[in-house]
Amino acid sequence: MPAGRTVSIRVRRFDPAAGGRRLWQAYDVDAGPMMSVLDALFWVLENEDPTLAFRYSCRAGMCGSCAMVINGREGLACARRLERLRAPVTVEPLRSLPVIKDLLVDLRPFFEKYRAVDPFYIGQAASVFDPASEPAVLPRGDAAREIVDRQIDCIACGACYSACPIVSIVPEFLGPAALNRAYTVAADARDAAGVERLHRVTADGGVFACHSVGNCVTVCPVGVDPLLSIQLLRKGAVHR
Amino acid sequence: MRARPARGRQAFAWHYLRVSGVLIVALVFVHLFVMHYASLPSAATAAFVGARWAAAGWRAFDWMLLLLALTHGVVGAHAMLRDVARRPLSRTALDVTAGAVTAAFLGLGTAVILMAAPPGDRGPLSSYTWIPSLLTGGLVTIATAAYVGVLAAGAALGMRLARRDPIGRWNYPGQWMFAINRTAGAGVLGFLLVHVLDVALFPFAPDLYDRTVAAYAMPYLIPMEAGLVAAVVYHAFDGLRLMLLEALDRRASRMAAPSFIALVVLTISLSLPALAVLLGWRP
Ligand code: HEM
Ligand code: FES
Repeated sequence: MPAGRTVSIRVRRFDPAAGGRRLWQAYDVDAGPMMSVLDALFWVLENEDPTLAFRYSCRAGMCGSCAMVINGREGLACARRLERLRAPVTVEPLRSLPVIKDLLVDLRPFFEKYRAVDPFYIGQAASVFDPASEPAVLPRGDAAREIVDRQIDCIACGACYSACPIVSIVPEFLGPAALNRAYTVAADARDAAGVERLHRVTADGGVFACHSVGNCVTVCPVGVDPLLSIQLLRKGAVHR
Repeated sequence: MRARPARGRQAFAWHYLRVSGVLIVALVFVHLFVMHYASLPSAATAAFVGARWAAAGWRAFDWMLLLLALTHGVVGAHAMLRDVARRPLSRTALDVTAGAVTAAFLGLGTAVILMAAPPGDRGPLSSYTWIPSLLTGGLVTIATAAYVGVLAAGAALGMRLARRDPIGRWNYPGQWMFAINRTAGAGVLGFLLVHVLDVALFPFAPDLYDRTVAAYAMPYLIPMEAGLVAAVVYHAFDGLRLMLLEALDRRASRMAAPSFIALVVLTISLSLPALAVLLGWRP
């Protein structure tokens, strides 16, 4: 690595085996050009502390594994460049989720709520099994389809879930990601899950628990607008 | 096609807050104008109220305002507290309290608006001279809690910023809009309850009513009174912003930072005249 400047980062550490106290630990990272926060964490892992725990996979801002709170804002560690951040750079695990170790959180509550909305396309049985059935035709420029196409980009990283104050106040709130997903499948003209899913997301803990705070929109690393999906679900603006 | 959404408590609160919010806007701004721009809270003496309520129209106006503000405020506060009261017993207690508060204050307020003032300035309750002290004590307590709360929150935030510690979700403008909206709504509801009690003295003890209202001129209370005007203005415009956003169906939510700045500017500029009037300035 070319000799660069030193950037200090402060990492929120937590080790259940060592008494389970959450404390800050500071590191001076040899920061090369274009270094991401994730690269800095690897630097710490390799040079300072091999026990630092964090999650990652694609390292290219696509998989959503490396979401954490960087300088107080949710984001993808692999997509945030050190030189663009004010030092000392603070790195914390996602909020509202149980911390397993250091920056590693247990995403189960997040995905359980995601699963609760039937987050997949449910078609009519006949159209799947009947070879004679016609494929659905989506008209060009369909307004709902345009929104769905954008909102379907969600990578389920959990940044919005962490940034949402309602998630932290109301334990049963399904959260922005699950509700956004629910909209994208409910608004599909071919959707056959229909009323049942809709009832689930409009009952308590669903779209009406949201207070349109909008932190989810501010933090989404891929430009999805979960609040828009929530608003459309509140109006029942889906095909039925 | 639109599907009918399922019903739940949160869905009810969400709809009721919006319907009552829209209905109440004009009433609230007329009330603010009459009481805080064109006049002073401490000048709303028994004579002033008597003259105003000689017109049936003003009685109807005040009753509508009471009905809508009380039910809107209680539904909002109930929904807020229900989110944190998790045990069945505390939830039941909360439901009962919300119902009882609404019934009691609506009943009292309705009676007061319908009743005529007694002849002269003494009424059946005039010998209970502790009532004005109690009400003024209540106002001073609310004001103190508000001042301490604002200072403590400011100090906590300032210390974190000075130490470069993370400040939680306060990096996000939406977080501020939400928190200020809630605080303002809850604060205005708290004041409304005290206010119903002090106006209730009007038909029962006009002399004590005058004494209570005179306390609004206390310098210690003036920042709180200006704060209440600001709270109402902010809450109303933020409520309208939310409804507009919801009506637009567009990605207006990306406008978080500019809308927060607009809200603050609007609130300050509409509250300054009220503060000036409270401080003794006359056009
Ligand atoms: C002047 C016109 C008003 C408008 C347009 C308005 C509008 C709204 C709206 C849209 C909400 C829902 C906010 C959300 O979903 O987060 C709300 C909540 C609330 N309002 Fe109002 N309101 C007004 C006046 C008042 C008054 C006078 C009071 C006090 C008596 C009040 C107390 C509350 C409370 C306690 C909440 C619940 C806050 C929360 O859940 O975050 N509002 N209001
Ligand atoms: S590692 Fe895949 S998004 Fe960062």
